[in-house]
Amino acid sequence: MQGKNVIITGSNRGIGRALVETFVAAGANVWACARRATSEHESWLQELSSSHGVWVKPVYFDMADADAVNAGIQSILDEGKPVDVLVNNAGVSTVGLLSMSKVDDIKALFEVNFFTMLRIIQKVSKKMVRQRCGAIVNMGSIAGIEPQPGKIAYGSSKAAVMMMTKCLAKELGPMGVRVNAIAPGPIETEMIHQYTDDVLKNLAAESALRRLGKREEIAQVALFLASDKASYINGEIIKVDGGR
Amino acid sequence: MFIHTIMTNIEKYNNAFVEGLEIPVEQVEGLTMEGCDKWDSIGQMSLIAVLEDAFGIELAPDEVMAFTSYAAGLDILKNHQIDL
Repeated sequence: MQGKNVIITGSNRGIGRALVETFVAAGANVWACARRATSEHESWLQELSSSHGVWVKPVYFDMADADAVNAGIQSILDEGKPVDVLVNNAGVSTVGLLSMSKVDDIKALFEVNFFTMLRIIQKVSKKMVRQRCGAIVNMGSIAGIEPQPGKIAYGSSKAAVMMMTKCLAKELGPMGVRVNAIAPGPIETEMIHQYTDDVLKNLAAESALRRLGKREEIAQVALFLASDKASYINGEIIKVDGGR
Repeated sequence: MFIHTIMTNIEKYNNAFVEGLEIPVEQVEGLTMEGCDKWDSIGQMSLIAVLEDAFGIELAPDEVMAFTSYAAGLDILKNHQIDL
């Protein structure tokens, strides 16, 4: 990954933070996309940059604002640098039974989790097609594979992401662009705190390893999929769930 | 001696076909998607990517769909205020 240029969305917390740390530690330059600028985020990126001798640039846009997303990604492309890797990590999660869910809220979730991801890929993949190489890693979810009550919005959006991944792998593969996805099981992030201790205990018990996953365990798989070590892997969904 | 040449817009346009579809420049004028084996859906993606880079524009999905011939492409670029 030394010297490669990588776009990572959702970089300011959870798995996204681990992704930035992991790619930077592997020698990659990173455009770290996040919703809003904070001094904490910026100083963290500066620290990473100086400690690893790479550049790490913050790019700010709201995933729910299509114009802002386009402008943010365009600002990256306008730099004229090769884009070797795109990690589509940003997403939102909700839990709600159908009878308690508003269709407009489900649409809003799909906008962030699916359509914005698609929009970003549409712009970045043109650059990769021109380069005749590139790797895209999309964040799916085990919730998009295993049906659960209350996950109709989140699970369906992630199922869509994973099918999009497989379709795009076929479309972009002939131009040297690989597209893969990761389907994490429950991971210890800020998102998990929406659950009670009992629920967390049950989630851990569903894994053969009897624990939740760590953010770094997802980031390492993303790094592998983005790297040349995975040069013949395309259109795959890698479950990272401790065995279920 | 270093000679710096600047391509005209029509040369840039023709070159996009050469680079994107990997065909000789002599075959470019009058080309249609149906009449060119290399201008399949994959060739189309490559052609559009080269063209967007060359002219610093972004084609909308309906423009990409309408781009099925050399002549159609000229009209589309004119709509982007590009003199050809």
